Amino acid sequence: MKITRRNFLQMLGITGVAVGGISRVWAIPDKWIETLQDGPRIETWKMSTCGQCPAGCGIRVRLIDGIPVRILGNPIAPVNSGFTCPMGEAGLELLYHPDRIRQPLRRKGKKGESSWEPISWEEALGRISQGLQGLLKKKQADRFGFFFGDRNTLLTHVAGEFVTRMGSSNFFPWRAPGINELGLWQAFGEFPPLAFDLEKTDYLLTFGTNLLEGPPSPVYFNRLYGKLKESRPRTGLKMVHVDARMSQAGKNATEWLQVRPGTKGVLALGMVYVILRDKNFDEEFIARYTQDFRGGKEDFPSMVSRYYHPDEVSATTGVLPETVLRLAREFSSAKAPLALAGGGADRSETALFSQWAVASLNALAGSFSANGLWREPVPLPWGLSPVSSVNTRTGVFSMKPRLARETDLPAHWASEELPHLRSAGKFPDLDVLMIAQVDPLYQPIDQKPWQDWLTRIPQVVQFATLVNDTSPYADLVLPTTTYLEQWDATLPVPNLPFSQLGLQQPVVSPLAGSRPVGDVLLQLATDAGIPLLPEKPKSFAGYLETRMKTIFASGKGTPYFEIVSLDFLDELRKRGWQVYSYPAFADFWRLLQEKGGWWDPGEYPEVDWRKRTKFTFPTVARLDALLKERALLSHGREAQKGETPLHPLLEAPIRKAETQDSFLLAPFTTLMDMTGEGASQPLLQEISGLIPRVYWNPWAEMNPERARKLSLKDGSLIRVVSGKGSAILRVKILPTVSSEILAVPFGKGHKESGRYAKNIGPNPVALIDPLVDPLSGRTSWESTHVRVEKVNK
Amino acid sequence: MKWGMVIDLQKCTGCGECVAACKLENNVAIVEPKESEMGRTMLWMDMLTMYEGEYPRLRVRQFPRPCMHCDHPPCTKVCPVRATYKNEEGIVAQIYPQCIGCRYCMAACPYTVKSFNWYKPEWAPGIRETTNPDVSVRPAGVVEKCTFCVHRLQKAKEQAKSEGRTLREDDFQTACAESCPAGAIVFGDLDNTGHRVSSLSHSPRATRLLEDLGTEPKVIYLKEVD
Repeated sequence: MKITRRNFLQMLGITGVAVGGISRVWAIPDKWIETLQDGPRIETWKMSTCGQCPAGCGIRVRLIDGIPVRILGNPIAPVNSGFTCPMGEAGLELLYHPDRIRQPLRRKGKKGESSWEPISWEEALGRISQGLQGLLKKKQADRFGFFFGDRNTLLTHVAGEFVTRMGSSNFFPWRAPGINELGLWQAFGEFPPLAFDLEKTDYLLTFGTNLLEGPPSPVYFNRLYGKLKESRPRTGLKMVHVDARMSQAGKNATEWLQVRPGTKGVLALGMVYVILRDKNFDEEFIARYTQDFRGGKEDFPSMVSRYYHPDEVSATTGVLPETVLRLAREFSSAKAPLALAGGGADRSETALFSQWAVASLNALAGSFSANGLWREPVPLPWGLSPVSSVNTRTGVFSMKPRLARETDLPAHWASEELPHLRSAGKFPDLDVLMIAQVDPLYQPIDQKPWQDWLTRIPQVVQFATLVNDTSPYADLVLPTTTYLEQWDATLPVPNLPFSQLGLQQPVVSPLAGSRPVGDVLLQLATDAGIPLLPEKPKSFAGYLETRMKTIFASGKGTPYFEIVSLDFLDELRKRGWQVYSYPAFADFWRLLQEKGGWWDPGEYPEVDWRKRTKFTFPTVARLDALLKERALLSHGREAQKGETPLHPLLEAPIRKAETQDSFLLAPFTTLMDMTGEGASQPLLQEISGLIPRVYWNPWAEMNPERARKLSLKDGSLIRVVSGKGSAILRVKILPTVSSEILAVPFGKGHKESGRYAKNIGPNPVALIDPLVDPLSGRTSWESTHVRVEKVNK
Repeated sequence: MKWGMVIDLQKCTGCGECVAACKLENNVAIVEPKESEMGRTMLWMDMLTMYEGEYPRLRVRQFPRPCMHCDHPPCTKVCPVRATYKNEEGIVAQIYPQCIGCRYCMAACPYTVKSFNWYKPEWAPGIRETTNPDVSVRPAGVVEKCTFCVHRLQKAKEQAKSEGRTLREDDFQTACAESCPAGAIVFGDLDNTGHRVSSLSHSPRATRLLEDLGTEPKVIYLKEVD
């Protein structure tokens, strides 16, 4: 039978529809036509978990005769309840990307040149295991390192284990810290950060935290914001967003408050000043669970009263004193106030200090003692997973079950700074470096040291689906499967008040020539004689199954199910009922695959403050000490000419745009590209500028008043010049940015990453000056001065 | 039967998921950067942003904008070849093979919902497998727009027929309504009092875009109240 349009439509069951019309053009692949000729055109759905970002949303994939045609949300997945974000929907564009690597590649020319020759898997693996064996023989395992990206999955742990079993401690995770992570770590050594329940708050203050356009889980928070917004007129919930750029978080808040970049902590302490003066703070919590609140001259209140009078705060932040006063009074008189700080793209030179200040504001205003607002993350039934840490004194990386508050920081804060640590002599030279799920030459602001570092390492092995910006500096590029072709389990999302494991299972068989990273690691371990896993699994899928047996044996949680009320569930449990019955592991495993994952329907318990370390407030003395202890993390960068040395209160790095044509560059993330990897997918590239109505190309958002002064029109071309270079961008005049900043979307300007990303616009991150938050070691995204010049066509 | 849509702006967070879902569901062509610069980007569902006032009194309003499926559509009146018309269920439909590409309808539409296919829609060898097999793509030279996901309606009708029953409210949802995380988009029969969309359309917050033109849009917005 010849397939004509008519009988194709008949098969689809949409004959007789006026819409559709007769078209001679088909977007239907030949393969489908063939399948359709013989195939029954059966629609099936497969459950899995999205891997476009670390949020772990459940997805269901629609397949026609086994061919995936659409990704939708898994309606019973607790994080996303059936919805996805644009990145989640676009996943098939990654799966079917025309530029996917199909064979291991070996670099032909010098490092930095993109010339490759394909080799066989056997040869590639042989070379790597030779390298690894060489290190083992020479007892130089510490010259092996592994960079691993932000998908928080079981695979991340296996990669960490691979490094440990090899005898090295150089596991470098690369991911954005969670909300409040920096501040809560400093205040009471809390890692992972505490979870919070937005539905319990009656006053939400977000210091730059954009829950709607970035990690931890934009779908979860968009859903929640919709709910909160709807009930807002009834409940009187107030939502205030504090940032120099409005972002979607500001648009959906009841109020947007402009502050100067880097001054969010100062504003928080200004509020603290008012709260202390009003004596309207949570006495009980302060007395029982905190330290350093009262300690003579050097305590927290005296620091605040000395430096953070609302008038001074106003001069620094640009917020009117009466606004500081109003905000402080509103916040401290709320029943369950919640202030959030940090998050993916919220990075400044004062990041840790700001978050610490916001944590202190929470402590004072009674947020921590509010009912059910803060929740304690519960480890999965298989126990604590080791965390990678970096020692602040020596720069040494290690894997530990728990971090030591005095000397350790989570390693992912400092991963971006590795080449600097190395050049400071605080880090050994590496012989073999593996890189997976991250593109370290696209993301860091300081690319030159990275290029130099990777050039010095004799064997750089990269796992990738597309040749990306890092590949020219790799010696071997191994083609890996996408998340739609492999087994894995995504771990609980930080900051969310419940526990879940999203099962990733292959929706289609892997692209010929590509292999899952997990299986490659198992193979390498066998070849090089590394005792990777005691279970000795044959495949990564087998290992995943073994781990799930622990979950099954614990009797906790259940495969995903329709959300019913928790009271009802409790009632069921009391009577010994289960939602599903799975007497044997095989039943449990089958259910997991059918439903898409496991979760514990009970929420995390409320934080028990009696059981944890006391909350520590920032003081001048403590800041001084910290600066000294962490001097290594700012990797001895010389103060630039004319720059004042660090003030104990870190206000010196709060930069201002002084001349008429100068701005502070402020890169931000969009929902279409939270990780920088969305650019490889054409749909996301096209609609990344949906709100400012710019398609494909990046843009620069400028305040209308500044644009008028510079006689720039909407759409004019400008050259943005920083100390590091320049870029040509189109101006978008928007009232949603403060007059001091020039906001540029993150995610464009790839040198590689496939045909849809390559050479589309400049990479704003490449313009950023290499400035670091000396307390956390994280690079700053909002302290770069740029000059703007008009470009005449 | 009169299909319509209610979009609750109090719930909408402006995330743009409806836009992505619509593009994928309906195989709306991706327009390359150069063409995009010339204003040729095709979005059946768009996100309109309105800026009111100035900081600190600035309010930003965002409207997801599909085709309004007007009861008195200006576009059908100007079509010289009846390639666009309103069907008996209120859907303003397009007959692509009949379209001669004059673009009068594009000029007539006050909501600018229509896009013109400047090029033969092409996908790279792999990417085209991501297209939805339930919807044909449009050839070069014709105008296209939101169809209220009529292919889903057709499927739902046949399903209902095969089960010997009438169409139920949840049998058929448009891709945008189905994908909205905030639950802001509700779709259904405006004439059926049993449908949620019917009661919502009588909400005191209900408003329509450019109502004074007399087009009587069947997409109803519920105003933000704070």
